[in-house]
Amino acid sequence: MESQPVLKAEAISKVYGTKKNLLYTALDGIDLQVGKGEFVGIMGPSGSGKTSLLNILATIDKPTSGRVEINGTQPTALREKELALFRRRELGFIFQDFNLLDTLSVRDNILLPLVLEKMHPAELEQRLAQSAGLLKITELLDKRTYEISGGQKQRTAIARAMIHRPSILLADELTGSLDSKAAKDVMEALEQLNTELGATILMVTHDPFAASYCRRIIFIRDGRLFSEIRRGANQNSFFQEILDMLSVLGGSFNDISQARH
Amino acid sequence: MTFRKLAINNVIGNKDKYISFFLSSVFSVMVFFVYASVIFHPGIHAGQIMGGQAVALAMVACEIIILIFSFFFVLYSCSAFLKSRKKEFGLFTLFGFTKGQLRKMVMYENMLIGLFSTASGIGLGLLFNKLFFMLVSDLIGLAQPISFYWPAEAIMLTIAGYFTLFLLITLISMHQAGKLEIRELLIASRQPKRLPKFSVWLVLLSLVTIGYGYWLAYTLDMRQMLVLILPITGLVVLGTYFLFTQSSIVILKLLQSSKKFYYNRTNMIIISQMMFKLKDNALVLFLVSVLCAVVLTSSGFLNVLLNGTKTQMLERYPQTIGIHEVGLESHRVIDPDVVRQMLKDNGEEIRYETKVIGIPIKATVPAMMRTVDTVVIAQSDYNALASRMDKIEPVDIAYGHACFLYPIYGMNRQFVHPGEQISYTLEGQSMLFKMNGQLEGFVVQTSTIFIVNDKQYAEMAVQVPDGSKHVFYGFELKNWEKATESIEKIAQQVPDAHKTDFVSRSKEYAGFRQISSLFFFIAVFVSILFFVASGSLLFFKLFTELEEDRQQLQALRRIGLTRSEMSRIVTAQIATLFYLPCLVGGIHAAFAMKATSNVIFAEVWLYSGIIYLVYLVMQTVYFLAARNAYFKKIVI
Repeated sequence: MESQPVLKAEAISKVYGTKKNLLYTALDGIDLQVGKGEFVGIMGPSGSGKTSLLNILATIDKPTSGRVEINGTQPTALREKELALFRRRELGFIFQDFNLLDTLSVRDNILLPLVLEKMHPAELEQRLAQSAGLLKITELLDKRTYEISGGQKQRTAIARAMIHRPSILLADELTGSLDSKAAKDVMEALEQLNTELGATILMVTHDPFAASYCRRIIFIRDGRLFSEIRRGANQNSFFQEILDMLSVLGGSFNDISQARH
Repeated sequence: MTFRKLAINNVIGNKDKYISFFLSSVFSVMVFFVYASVIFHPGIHAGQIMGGQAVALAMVACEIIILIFSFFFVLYSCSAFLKSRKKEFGLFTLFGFTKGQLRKMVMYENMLIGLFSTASGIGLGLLFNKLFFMLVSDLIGLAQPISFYWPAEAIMLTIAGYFTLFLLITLISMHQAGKLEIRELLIASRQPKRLPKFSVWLVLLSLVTIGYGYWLAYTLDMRQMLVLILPITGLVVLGTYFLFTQSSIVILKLLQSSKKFYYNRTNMIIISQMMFKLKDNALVLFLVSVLCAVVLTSSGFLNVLLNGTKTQMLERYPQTIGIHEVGLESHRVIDPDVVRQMLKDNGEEIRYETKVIGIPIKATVPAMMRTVDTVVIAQSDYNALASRMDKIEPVDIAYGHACFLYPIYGMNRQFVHPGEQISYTLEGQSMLFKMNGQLEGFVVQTSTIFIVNDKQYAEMAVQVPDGSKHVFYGFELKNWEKATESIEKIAQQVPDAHKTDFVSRSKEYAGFRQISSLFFFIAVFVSILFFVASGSLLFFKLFTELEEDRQQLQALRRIGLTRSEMSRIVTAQIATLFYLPCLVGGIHAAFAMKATSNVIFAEVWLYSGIIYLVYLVMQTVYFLAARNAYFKKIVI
């Protein structure tokens, strides 16, 4: 299944703190590969370094040591402007709090990455129709962001993240602000992207249910790789497997539940 | 932490929001105080200073304007502060603050700011008082500057005025703070913004009122002026209000509907955010535009008056000093050597002197229906004088011909016509001029003049005895605008019978200049106050919305918006807020100046253009400061 890797991380370490302060090691020699068309989840207790890792992979943060390569490019070698352009061409982001612009309509929010690249209006429409159809938000296109539900917002965010056909989709707790029905819808949409369009997805989550949609899950603890499990044919047994693994892992997984009422 | 300490910390913690408001308050207190110290000056009170009463009266009017303006400015700023801090108040309430305590906190904060701005304003005012007195003295043209004194009454008045003002506003703020509901407080910042709407009728109304107002101003003439000035102002102000609240949205919607423009890089973000920003800031933008128009129009108008008068004076008095003698060497008015000597003694520098000899004739001008006593001068003399004037062209006259010079500009009346024969008597002999036509203007200090060919002049000159020839002396001084006192000394040497034969431009100009430049000076301060306050409103508005904008831009940055794109978005938005009112106010002022030029025949565009440029430069400084401060806060 793993063809050539889209994302390659070798011996990533991240140490916070200055010379005078105590050092805190958030990540300690993480190796990671994500192949084309893979759907990978990263799980771990609070403070395990998930977010640090995602920020480094998302090129928002730089590792203290180690090497990241996305689609053959090393982001650390790029200058600030090139890095921003790289981010918006090669990566697609999905956030827990959606990060949609409420001054824009749903349509314009989705089109944003393409508009910044100055694409021709006719092609914009074509791409939009495709993405919106797949995510079942075609009827919502002319609505404002405050008129739609959380699940619809997250599907809009997914459409925005994939419309420019990035090499990899990076999702950070994308079900964190959703109720269980909306979370299910969103995860199904994401799975559909993976299976039908072959989108490469890397997702950080606390939520075992959301994680059960992944094909492979990497567990980290205290900044190190802990273990890895792969999904078989049955999602329910995979879900159980995840729960078992989490209990082995220990630590707190509570910080997700406060967002869910 | 005591309660008072909490209030102090709140102010310090919100210093970015407070600073421009605080500085504008300080500035208005300072101007108020400085004017007050002129009004209460013992010298002015006792009437020792010439023109002082008029100045004091004008300043009293300004004081009232400043106080009213300050009231609304501070009131608006305070209630906007309260709104921007709803969430903070919500938290305080959640921690168990009672309404009374919340009110008390607001009171402490407001009084703290009021106290500090009043104290700083008076302090700065005291510092600049001496300088201000010197400027005023210079403008009134006093030899002895107004002396510095300890302005106890002015301090009292300023403290009383601003204390009352801040107290009133504190009461209003406390009332507002008390009305807030806790739930409302906590969710205030999370309430989504509705898409701005507009009404077609109001858009049409704004276009029609502004258009009609402009048309009335454009075609305004002297007769309708008094009747129409108020309606025009009313129409344009009304139209401007709806222009910002309604028409601005229509324009942005139109831009949005152009796919090619809208879906072009950052335009989409700029325009969609602009729509909300314009709607939110419509009231401020409207106020700033009107203030801008008022500042530009009034300062432009005053400048036109001032400079128009100067131009008129320069035309009316071709040389600073004009002396008219009869008899070549009689010196019955004053000896030019004496004038020269006295000018030198008084430190005045002579730019040039003129001496023109006129031959007296009696001419019969049919259009004037009488015989006029006038003089003939030589063409070469005339051309030499004309070369020093702006508006007067040299002439070339054939033998036997003459030009008639009429001493008023812009008179649309021809007393003589080209080809007309004018009869005159020279020493009792009747003769004829064939006229080349009529010219206008002053070259020497007399009324009408006939100009003839040099050869003919020489022939006429030998027929008249030296004792009855007219001599016109002219002295143009380098610093004529300030030479009044020196010239007065010379004028005292002129015998009473000949006082009217000695005239000077300086004296007449000085009187006018004194009053008008004082008004100008006072108006400039009020204008600067308006300007500073309007900029401060914009500055303040920007920073209250900063947190929201920051979150949006940070989100965009994560998905790969470059720094230069962010800078473009921020710059476009702030530039619109700062320059749009300038543009609208400028166009309003341009129509007002057009109306002015219809009524006063003077050069208006140059002076108001200069004032507009100065305004733009100051606004640019403000804009750059705001943009940089804002960008620094946004990109952390």
